[in-house]
Amino acid sequence: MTHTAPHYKRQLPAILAFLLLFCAFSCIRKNIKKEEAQDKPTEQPKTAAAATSAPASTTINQVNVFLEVSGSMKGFMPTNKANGITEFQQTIDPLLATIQQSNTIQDKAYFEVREKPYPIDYNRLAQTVRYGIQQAASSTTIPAILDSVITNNPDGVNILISDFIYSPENGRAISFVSTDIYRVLAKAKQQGQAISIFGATSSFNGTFYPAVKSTQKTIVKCCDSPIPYYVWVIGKPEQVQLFNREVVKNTFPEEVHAGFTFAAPAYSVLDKFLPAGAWYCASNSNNCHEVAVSDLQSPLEIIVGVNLASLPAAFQSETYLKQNLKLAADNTDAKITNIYPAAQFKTQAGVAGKNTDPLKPYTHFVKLRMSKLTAPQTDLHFSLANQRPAWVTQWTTLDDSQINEEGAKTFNLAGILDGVERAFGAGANNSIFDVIINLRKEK
Amino acid sequence: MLPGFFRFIYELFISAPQPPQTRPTFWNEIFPTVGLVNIVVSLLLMLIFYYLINHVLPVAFFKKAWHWALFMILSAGINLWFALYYCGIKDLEQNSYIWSFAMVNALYGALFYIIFSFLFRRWSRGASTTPVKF
Repeated sequence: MTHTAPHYKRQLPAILAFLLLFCAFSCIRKNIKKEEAQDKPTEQPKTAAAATSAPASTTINQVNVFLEVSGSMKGFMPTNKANGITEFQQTIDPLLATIQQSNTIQDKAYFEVREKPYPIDYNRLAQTVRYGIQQAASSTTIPAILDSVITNNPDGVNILISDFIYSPENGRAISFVSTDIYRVLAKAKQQGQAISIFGATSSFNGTFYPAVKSTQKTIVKCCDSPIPYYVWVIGKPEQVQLFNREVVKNTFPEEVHAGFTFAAPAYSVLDKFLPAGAWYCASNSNNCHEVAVSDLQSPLEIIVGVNLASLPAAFQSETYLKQNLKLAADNTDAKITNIYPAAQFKTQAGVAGKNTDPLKPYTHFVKLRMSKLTAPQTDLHFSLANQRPAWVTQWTTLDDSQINEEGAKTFNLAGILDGVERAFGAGANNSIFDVIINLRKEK
Repeated sequence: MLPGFFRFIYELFISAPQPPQTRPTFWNEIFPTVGLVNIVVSLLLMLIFYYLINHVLPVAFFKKAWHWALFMILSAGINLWFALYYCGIKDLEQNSYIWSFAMVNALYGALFYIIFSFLFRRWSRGASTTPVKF
């Protein structure tokens, strides 16, 4: 007995050491489990949000197509077959066919807009588009047409095809144009509708009716230059988006949108591609929205991937992004130095030859550079301004009485767009999205 | 706490991980895992040397200082290999930092083996005075 007690005491430190190691090991396991548990709830809402932001509706109940058939439209749809068909006919005929055959759209209705909209069946309308307007209607003012279009089918999608040449009856005050358009569309906005305007030009083979009738009321045997025409798509935002995606696609070269709210795009800092300087991702989740800066001895370069696939094509163009994607942040000189579309980014030196799987979720890559951070932390705001596209100004004229010299322009198009933007509260101050990357100094 | 400890002991000898973008991976995954494996491996080798070979098994000849040093080198070697292997698993490209980290890990492999040896050798029946008697 006297021998065993000291032997037991001598073993004590060893047992203690074992216990300590065992504790340490089990602690680590617990920590890992905890981290996993913490990660999961933060990721789950994200996937849920992604699921809800995906368009829930896959069908459109009702599409009404309104084709203006006044005398001014006759040049797009001439009856004489000598000169071949116009671009208007080449574009609108297949578009109407796509609408008629679409499985996405449940009910389709077609109207000819004379002094008011008259229902017509698809075949008759296609005949008009193909073989010309037999009996031109007296023209209707744009606000009146818009008004009846909006009130007729507020829950579906309305398509209005017109040249949108509009001068108020008192032609002297062009600012009335924007007010008139605003008054009509304010109603659409109240009903929760949004609007997409697509523009294209077409050869014109007939009588042109200028809005400004100072020199002549009509220009016969017009025109030497192409004439613009427009397709307005009005309806509930998600349905218009669906329609644009499924039916319109890339039919028209120009487009402008108002009244949409876009879901914030998925984005992430990509630390494995072209990094420069001492920084690293400080987020725990897969999407890196936080960057820690170790030091600023050399300027930092960071690549951010963004997924803009859900935005209209116009907002995705490289030129639009380069002009309108803005980076705002306090206490830092961070700047966007380049924007690459995905295909271009994958061919960059340092990216090509790497595993590009992490790039797959993103459509564009933004490179930013900074050399200063004067606060412990700051937020980098990336916002895309909803800027009126340049083509609107280019296609605007305030005097279309000499349309052959003016070229492919529409009377006071900018004024019409002013009214649209006023109604929907869109404009330069309105950003399409605003996403944040948090930047902080390493503790 | 443990990631902090391992980060501390590794960064005693080497700089913060390079390239900087790999720092979270090193700090949160590689240092703790590799460090823990290091401790387990050197403990295991110590147990094999003192308690399997020189206690349970009736081996009387494998208790010289250089036998013990052989196991120390084995511990360093295994830990060098494991550090490189684990960085490979984590999709890191081979660079000089990973090699210096592996070397430091080998050093700690030897060091932990030595520490465990002196802590636990006294209950070994055959090698309680290996490598040196004092």
